Order: sequence, then structure tokens, then C-alpha cells
Amino acid sequence: MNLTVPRRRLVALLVAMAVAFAGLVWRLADVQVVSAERYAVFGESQRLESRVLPADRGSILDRNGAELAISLNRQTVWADPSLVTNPAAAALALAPVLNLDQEDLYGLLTEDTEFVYLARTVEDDVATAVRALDLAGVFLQEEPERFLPSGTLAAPVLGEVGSDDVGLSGLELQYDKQLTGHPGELLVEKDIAGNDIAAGTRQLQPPERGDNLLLTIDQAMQYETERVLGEQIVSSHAKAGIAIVMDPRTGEILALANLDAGKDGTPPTPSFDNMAVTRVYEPGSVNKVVTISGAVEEGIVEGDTRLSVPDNYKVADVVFQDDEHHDPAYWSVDEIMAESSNVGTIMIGQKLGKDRINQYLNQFGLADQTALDFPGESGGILPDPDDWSGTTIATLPIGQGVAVTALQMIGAYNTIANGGTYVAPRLVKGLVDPSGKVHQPDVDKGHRVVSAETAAAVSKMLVGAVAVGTGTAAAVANYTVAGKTGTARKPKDNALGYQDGAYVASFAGFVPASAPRLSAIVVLDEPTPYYGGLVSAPVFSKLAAAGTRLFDIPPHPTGDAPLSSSSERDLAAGSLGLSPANA
Amino acid sequence: MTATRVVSPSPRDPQAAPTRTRATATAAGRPPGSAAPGPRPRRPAPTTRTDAARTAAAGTAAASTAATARAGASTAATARPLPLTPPRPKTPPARRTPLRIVSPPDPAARGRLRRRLWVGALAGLACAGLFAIVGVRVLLAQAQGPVDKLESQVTAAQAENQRLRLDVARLESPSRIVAEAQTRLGMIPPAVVTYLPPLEEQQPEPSPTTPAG
Repeated sequence: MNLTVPRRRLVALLVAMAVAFAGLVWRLADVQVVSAERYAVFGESQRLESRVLPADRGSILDRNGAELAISLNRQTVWADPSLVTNPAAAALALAPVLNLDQEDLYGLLTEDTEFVYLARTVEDDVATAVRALDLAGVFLQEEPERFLPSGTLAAPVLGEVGSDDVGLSGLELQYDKQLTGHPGELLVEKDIAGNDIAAGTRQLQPPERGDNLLLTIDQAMQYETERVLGEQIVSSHAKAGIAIVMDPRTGEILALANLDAGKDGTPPTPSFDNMAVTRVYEPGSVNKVVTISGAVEEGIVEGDTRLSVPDNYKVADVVFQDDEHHDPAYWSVDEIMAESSNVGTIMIGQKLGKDRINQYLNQFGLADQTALDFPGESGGILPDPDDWSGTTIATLPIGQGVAVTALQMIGAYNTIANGGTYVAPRLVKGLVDPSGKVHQPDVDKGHRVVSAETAAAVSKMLVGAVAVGTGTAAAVANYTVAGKTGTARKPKDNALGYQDGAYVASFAGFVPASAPRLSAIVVLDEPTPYYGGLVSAPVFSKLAAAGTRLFDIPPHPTGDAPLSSSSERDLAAGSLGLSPANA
Repeated sequence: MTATRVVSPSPRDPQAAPTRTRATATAAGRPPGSAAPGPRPRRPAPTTRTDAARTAAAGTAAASTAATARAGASTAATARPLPLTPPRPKTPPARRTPLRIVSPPDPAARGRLRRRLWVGALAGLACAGLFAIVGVRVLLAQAQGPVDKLESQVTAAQAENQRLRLDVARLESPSRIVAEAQTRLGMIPPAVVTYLPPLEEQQPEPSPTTPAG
């Protein structure tokens, strides 16, 4: 075929164009058909930016709506060292503003990374000052911070929140899911310079604020409890103290204080954890109420049943004795309770027997965790009947050889106060969603432990213990108080036997005895003097007086109205306007 | 094969004398430059003629056009009042316009014209639509500014609300109230608290003014 030069060029050009066109077609098919989805996603990822909108953490409120824990957004200062042009100058400028060491800042600003925190959740004025410096590579971002407006009030109960807005302990941990809420998302279309395109894609899914946690705690009662307990820790030189105030009818915890003695004479400080539910102790004589209740319920003894009680009593190879020397006495059970006789109680325990002692300890709630289900809560230590030694039949009835939490023990007294029915303790009244609706948690209906007659008989014994027995310091003017003292030796750490001169002093009781509205337990660790009747009972008296005044409890209540403090009444009258968010 | 027909040129033929036609309209009272209702000049349709006809047409076109223009002027003059000048002698009857062969209207050309009109209209609509979209986008962009500003204000107000709630909670804290009472107001806790017994438990004392007996 004889082609002329121009024609050959044309053919060559045609072929080249055909090849180029085929390439284009192939590329087009690849982009539009074969890899269309991948390129679409890739394109969207370049154009669309998804921003997570963190949800505000719900507040923790007392029973009247007062905020005990609240979150606030603060500015965090961070840097991208790769963008910092002059680290030395930046460190010099930032050091006085952030109150940090200049060399430390320089080290952070020269790290081989693209993100480093300089200062988290700074005050607003600090953030403004940092912004004014306009340093290259130094940025601000919002982060939530948890505040306790009432300082350390109930801090061990409330718990802590980490820097990432996650609950670490206490109620913050237990109800972290409900408090956290649901984060939102903002999807925006960006231009090549990274700016939002005004009329571009913009999808907003707003964050949903977490629920508020409405507690049963009363802020004023909590403050008074911590104040009175703290004073007694100081005056008795105790190592630590626990106090719980409850409504025995509902199981609502009105105050829960955990304090450690301050170092070098400083005021007591909140303990690291909620000792009232996480730590166990041997309750001592406070536990006698369980033994005697069981014996009365089983018809073994009555309040006026008299026993010949010697000064000491041998069980297996151990001699048990009463605290004070006395001649053999012919005491009624009421007197045994009032005088807190170890020997008399051991004798009653022996009549009750191993199985029934174990049964009543279980039924009074001393063998299991409470329904509170608090993080780290202990279920107590109750020896298995199969593991009992020869002396266990004597130690358990008087509260030695068994370990309980303070909350478990006050639960036993609530049972007597409540006419023989165990009511599970409650710390949360409800969850308040963002619309203001209150969701009440499931409530344990409780269970009957002893009959109302037995409860009344034991209650009468406890009144005697305060009126004429070891607990006279717990009395409250114009009120009839029922309660029991406890003074127990502290076991050795990681060894058998008890420490010398180390005691746990306690008092548990309720008021008014005829129609209990308040119950409380006070536990002091190694106080001086070490008797519960001398150091713990006076604290109970002050708490009962404050509680009856705060909740307007008359000496002889007639109705069965729920407790309401002055703040609650103000709230009901509408004088405290609470928004749905924190109502 | 092209069909031919014979027609006579007329004053409406734009190829014949477009300027004269405009002049006639002006003389009839229409201001120059105003839109004339008559046909606009257009490119003549392609025609197919015989050589003889083409020659005849070339030779007679000018004369016939002039005559037609004169006839038009004469017609316009009849609508006016009679002039004082003596009437002109009646012109001899115009010579019969020679026939010529023109091609019939081309349907394809009309179709093309119609298509061009449609394309033009659609292009215009498309342009208008594009401008409308741009306009809407501009309006949206302008409205986004205030929206962003309002959202920013809402966020700031919410942050302020949170901060104020914290302030309120701090001010209502029992420890602060007690500290204020003790330090600023000089109050002290009572050494002894005296409780009044309920009224029904009080024994009424005899009044000194009550008469005996």
C-alpha cells in the first residue's frame, strides 16, 4: 500500500488519538463504573468532615435538686510541635500564662509529634491570654471538666470523673452510662482551603445530654453529718469515721459520710473511697440485736425472760467475759441487751443454735451485698457454718468473728425499726432525662425477717439500752431513741488474733422509737476512749437532733408521711424554680 | 430535480428595494427608526432559475420596483387633502412584470430555523436556570452568616448558663453559707440547744390572776 507522507501522518495521528481516547474511555469506565464507589467515598472524605459533638455529662443532684456535681466546658491548650516556628519564644511566652516551667514547656514544644497537651481545662482568663498570644502551632480546644460546687461534700460517694469525662469511681462510675449521654455529629462540606462551604452539605445530629442523677441524699443533712463526725474524729483522735443517716421505712440514705483523720492536726478529709460500703469491720455488740431478735422470733426467750448470767463463761477452750466485772446476776433479756452482756448473749446464742444464728445473720442482710450495688461494695465476711470452730457459736452472737459493712449493719436496725421487714438501702431516687422526666429505678420490696411483735419487743430492748444502758449518750431531748452500742476489737492484719488496744466503736439506732423516721449508724476507728457509748453515741444524738429538726419529725409521729426537709417543702411550694434540666 | 414556478417581483420582495420600502413607510407618517410591521430583510431563499429568466429578472427589477414605489406613494397621497397643484397626468399602465422562476419554499430550511429557535430558547432557559441557581446559592450563603452567628450565640449562652449554674450551686453550698455566717455576719454555733416540748405535754400553770375557788 503506497501511502503518502501526509496520509501516514494522519493515520499515525488517528491511531494515537484512538489510543488516547481508548485510554480515556478506560479511565472513565474505571472511575465511573468499576471503582465508582471507592472514588465516591474518597471524594466524600476529602470534602466532608465529620465532627463529633460531645454530650454534656448529666449533673448529680441531691434529693432537693441542689447540684452536687456539675460539668462545665473549659479550654485545653495543646500544641502541634511540627507547626511551632520558634519553640523557645513560645515557651517563654506561655510559661507565665500557664504557670508552667519554661524548660518543661520547651521540651513539650520540641517533641517529635504532632499533638501534645500543654495545659488541660484552664480557666477562661488563661485561655483568653493564650489566644491573645497568637502563637503558631499552639491551639485551644474545648474539654469538659467536672466540678463539685459544695467542695468535698459527699465526695467519696459521688466518685471521680477522669479527664476524658469518664466516671472512675463512686456513683460517677456506677451510673457513667446514664450520665454520659449520646454524642452528636456535625457533617460539613469543606472547600479546598478547609473552610466550611456555606451552602454545602450540612447535617447536624445534636448531642443528647446525659441524664441527671437524683440522689436520696439531703445536702444539708450530709453537711451536718460530715461536720459532726469530723469534730468527733478530732476530739477522739480516731483514725477515721463513718456515719450513715437513713429513712428506715424507705431505705433512702439521707447522708453518708466517710472521713479520715487529718494529718498533723489538720481537719479530717474525705476518705479515698466510700468506706461505709467498701470496708468491713467486726461490729461487736451492735450485732447482738440479730442474735436476740432471732431468739425472740423463735420463742426461745422474751424480753422479760430471765437468765442467770455469770461474769465469765467458757465455750470450748476460750473464756468469754463481760466488759465489767459483776457477780452472777439474774438478768432479763431486756437487761442483757441494755447492759450489753456478752455472757448473756452467748448463752442466748447457744440456745438459738448454729443453723438459726446463721439463718438470721443472712436474713438481716449481713451475708450479702446490699441492693445498692455500689462499685467496690463488700458483701461482708460471714463464716460458712461448716467452717465454724468450737468458739464460733460464742463469737458470732456478740459480733466477733464476723465482718460487715456499716451499711449492712444499719440495714439490720432498719429491719427492727420497720416492724421486722428488711428494706434495701437506696442511694438513687431517680434518673432525670433531658426533658425533665424522672425515671425511678426498680425498688427492692424487701422481705420479712421477724414478726412485728418480735420487732416491737426488740425495739423496746433498744430503748432501754439508750434510756438506762450503755447508750445513754445517744439520747435526744423530747424523743425516745432506740439503739445499741458496739465496741469491738480490731483483728490483726493478715494474721490470726486481735490487735492490742485497737477498737472500733459504734452506735446504731433509730428515732422516734415509737414510729421510726430516722436511723443512723456511727462507726469510729480507734477512738480514745474506745467505747461506742462514749464516742459514737454522742454523734448519733447530734445527728438525730439535727435530722428531726431538718425533716420536721415530731416526737410522736402519727401519720406515715414521707420525710421532707425545709428545702423540699420550698421546692414543693414552687419557691425554688428548677429548670427541667436540673429538676 | 427542482421544481420551478413563475412569480412577479413585488414591493415586499426585500431583495428588490429594501431602502425604498423604508422610505415609503416614513412618508406615510411613521417616524424613522420605529419598528416597522412589515417584513424584515432576510436572506433570499435559494432559488433555481433558467438563464433566460435570470436575465429578464436582472433587466426589469429596478424599473418594476420604482413603479411599485410610486404606486405606493400615490396611494398614500389619496389619504391626504387634495393638493393645490394640478393633477399629474395619469401615468401609463405599468408594464407587466416579467415572470421568473423561483424555487419553492425549502421545508428543510424551515425545520432548521425551527430547531435553531428551540435551541436558542432552551439555551436561554438554561442560562436563566443557571443564574437562578447561582442567585439562590448567593442568598443561601448570605443567610448562612446570620445562622452561624446565631448558633454561636446559642452556644455562648449555653456555656454562660452552665457557668452561672455552677456559681449558684457554689453560693448555695452549706459550707459557704456557714463560713459567711461566721466570718461576715459574726454568728457562732450555740453552745446549748434548747428544745421546746410539744404543747400537749406542757402542764398549764395556774394564772396568778385566776381567782381561787
